Amino acid sequence: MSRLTDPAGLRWQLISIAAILVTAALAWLLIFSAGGPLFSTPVLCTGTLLGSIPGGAQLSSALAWVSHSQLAVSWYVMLMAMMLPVVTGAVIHVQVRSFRSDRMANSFGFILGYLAIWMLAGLPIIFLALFLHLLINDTAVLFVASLGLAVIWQITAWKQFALNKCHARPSLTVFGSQPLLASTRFGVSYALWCLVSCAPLMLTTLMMPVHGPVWMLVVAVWIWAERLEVPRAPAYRLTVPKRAFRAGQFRISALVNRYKLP
Amino acid sequence: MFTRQNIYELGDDWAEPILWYARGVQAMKARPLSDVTSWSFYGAIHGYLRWLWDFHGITDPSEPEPSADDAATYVNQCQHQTWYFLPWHRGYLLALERQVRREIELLGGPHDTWALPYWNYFETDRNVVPPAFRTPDWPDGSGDNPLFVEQRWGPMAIAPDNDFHELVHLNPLSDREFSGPGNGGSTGFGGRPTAFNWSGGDNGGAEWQPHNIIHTLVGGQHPTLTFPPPNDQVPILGLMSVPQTAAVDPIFYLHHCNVDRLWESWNNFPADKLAINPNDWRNPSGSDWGDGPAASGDREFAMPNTDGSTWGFTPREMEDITALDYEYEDLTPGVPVESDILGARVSNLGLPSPVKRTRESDMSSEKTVEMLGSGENKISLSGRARQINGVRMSAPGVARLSSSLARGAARSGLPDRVFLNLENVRSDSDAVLFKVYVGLSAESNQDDNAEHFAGTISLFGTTLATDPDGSHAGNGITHVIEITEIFDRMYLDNRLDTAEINVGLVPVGDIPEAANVEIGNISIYRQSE
Repeated sequence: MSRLTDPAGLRWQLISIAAILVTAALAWLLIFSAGGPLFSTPVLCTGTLLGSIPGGAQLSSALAWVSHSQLAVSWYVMLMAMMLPVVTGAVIHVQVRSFRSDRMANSFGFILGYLAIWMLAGLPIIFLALFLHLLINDTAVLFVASLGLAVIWQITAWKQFALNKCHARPSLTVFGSQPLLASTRFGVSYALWCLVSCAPLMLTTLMMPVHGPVWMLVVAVWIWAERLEVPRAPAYRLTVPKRAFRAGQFRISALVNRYKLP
Repeated sequence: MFTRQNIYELGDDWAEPILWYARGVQAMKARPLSDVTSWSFYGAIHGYLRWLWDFHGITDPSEPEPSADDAATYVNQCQHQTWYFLPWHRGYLLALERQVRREIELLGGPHDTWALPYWNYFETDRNVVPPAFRTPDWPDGSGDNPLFVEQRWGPMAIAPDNDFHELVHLNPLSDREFSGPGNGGSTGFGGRPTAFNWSGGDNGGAEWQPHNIIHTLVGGQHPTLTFPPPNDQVPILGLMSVPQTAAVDPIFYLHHCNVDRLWESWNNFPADKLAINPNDWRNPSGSDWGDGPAASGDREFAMPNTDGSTWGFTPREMEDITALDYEYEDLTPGVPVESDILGARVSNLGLPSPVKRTRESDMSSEKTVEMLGSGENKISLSGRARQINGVRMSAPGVARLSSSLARGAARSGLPDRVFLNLENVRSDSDAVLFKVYVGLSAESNQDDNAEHFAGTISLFGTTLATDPDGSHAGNGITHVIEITEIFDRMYLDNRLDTAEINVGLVPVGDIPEAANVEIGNISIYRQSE
């Protein structure tokens, strides 16, 4: 796995990474801001706004109460915050395998394909969350159940299989009208595997009864950290992504040792 | 101070250092795989694949595995396609050498002077496995010589290889940088920055040449027999051809001593070689390299001590061989290596001589790497037939390259370098070699066009990098070859302004269909200096 820091320095790569991270940071600011609930899918789904809907209401009633566009925008903001940071490596790959004049367009093509799949996936995920909330009307039970489901998924070999696929860095077609198509197609396939890998975790964020944004942050860090793990053979096991933590620990202790007083 | 000597300069096929190496290896081979000081365990530190070991008879199917702790600490540790390739193998050689020395001590031999010999295959008639490794017998005629390995089927295993100097060279020793910018551009002499890298990614220069090619030329593949199902139809690979069996062959350590010697040579030989930049001929100065993979949260490099305890080491600790208490008898690489390629190049292009930079701040803060051309299809390679593939060039990129060749880059005044990328190379066999030609017309014969020869590719390690469950998720290996000289010639002959450049792939021997050799794409990059 290549590191982002490069002794030879490739400025355009660093600018791209910075742009992605700043966008994600702004999305987090929005979610944690005073107006956050309006941009927070978990809040919209877990009943803060649905609380006034009469018990036993149908999904259609709920959707009449919370507008489609509001859900779409909140889901989009959520994706920008949680999922953008994990695509930096793939975006750099697209740029490296593009002609200079196509780098930006192809990067956007990739992100467009990636976000398009996740936006589409939002339909069943959010509808499922709303449906379950209306059906059971006990967010604590729903959260525990969804967390259990996510943990089971994390243990399966299929999860590891999908996670491995998120490390694919294919060759891309770069001529004619095809490069944009190739990078978008890469974004789509990357998002599909990302979706298979992360969807159960994402569902838990829509079930969190309180502190939804905080749980979103926890899940986002987990997803980012497990993407930093080295691919391994699919097997039934629970893998805690500790590599990022160990790297941080090593660097902090190196820093402390460097500036330690005699 | 221990001195590693040229095995062909020891005076006798079974000179004392070779004889004691054999005795030490024999003593280590007497121990089981589960013992961290055994020969097979040392092989497993480099790479371990149980079905393949059982198949070759390295292990008996009933033999117990190493303990879980030992496996996690030591096994499957070899570093390839990474800037840790050289320091990890240096530590590995040191540990093995200490263990053999300990065996020699226990046998009452010269443990206070013995050191691993190196095999410099570049010298005349020495591009063949040394005699003591080719005979199944000890000097007294008894037949269990532990240096002999039956599974060596490459051309260098039996007799000097006539094609050796066509296939193997030391061009990477002319690269002044340890680690290049990558991303299509140079990977440098020592390889690209990575975390702990078991396999997959981009080959560094020294790893490409001579390391990989020698592995294939020694190990090779069986001329007729194939593996059992499900790998049937893939020829049986020699031990040296595959990372997971290579270090079981005693010749492995002599080959790697030579690679280690070439690293020392790159650093320090000759002492007055021209440095344009302050970092030229030096190892990376940063802690990312120096601290090793622990800085990335990965397992540290670890070897067993002779008493079974663990010796952890970092790349920084591997830099100074004097501090590590050994030296090489001779640092002459073996074939002439041009240390002032840049001077000759700018002169050839009619550009001013490069100005020597004395401070790091004088160096250009970034190098531009830009794709100049690309193929359009995935390529499959098999049989013996030559394949010509067109690489379509981008006119604006080529114009920028031409400008730098005419006037030097605006920032540095130096001409750009050019690199060919064979992207995402995958294969089900490691014992594959093919030659690469750039700018060859479909009608011309490559044998009459040596000036178009870009290099030879060995697929050593590719099977591992092809595994979708492997640490690189099956992305394969990307081979980066410098083709600056070919492009300079095209520029001087006014042939650079072309819409398409041919890249010819010429198999060395027969590439079996079952090897499934696949190249994701061929691309060409320029890199500013």
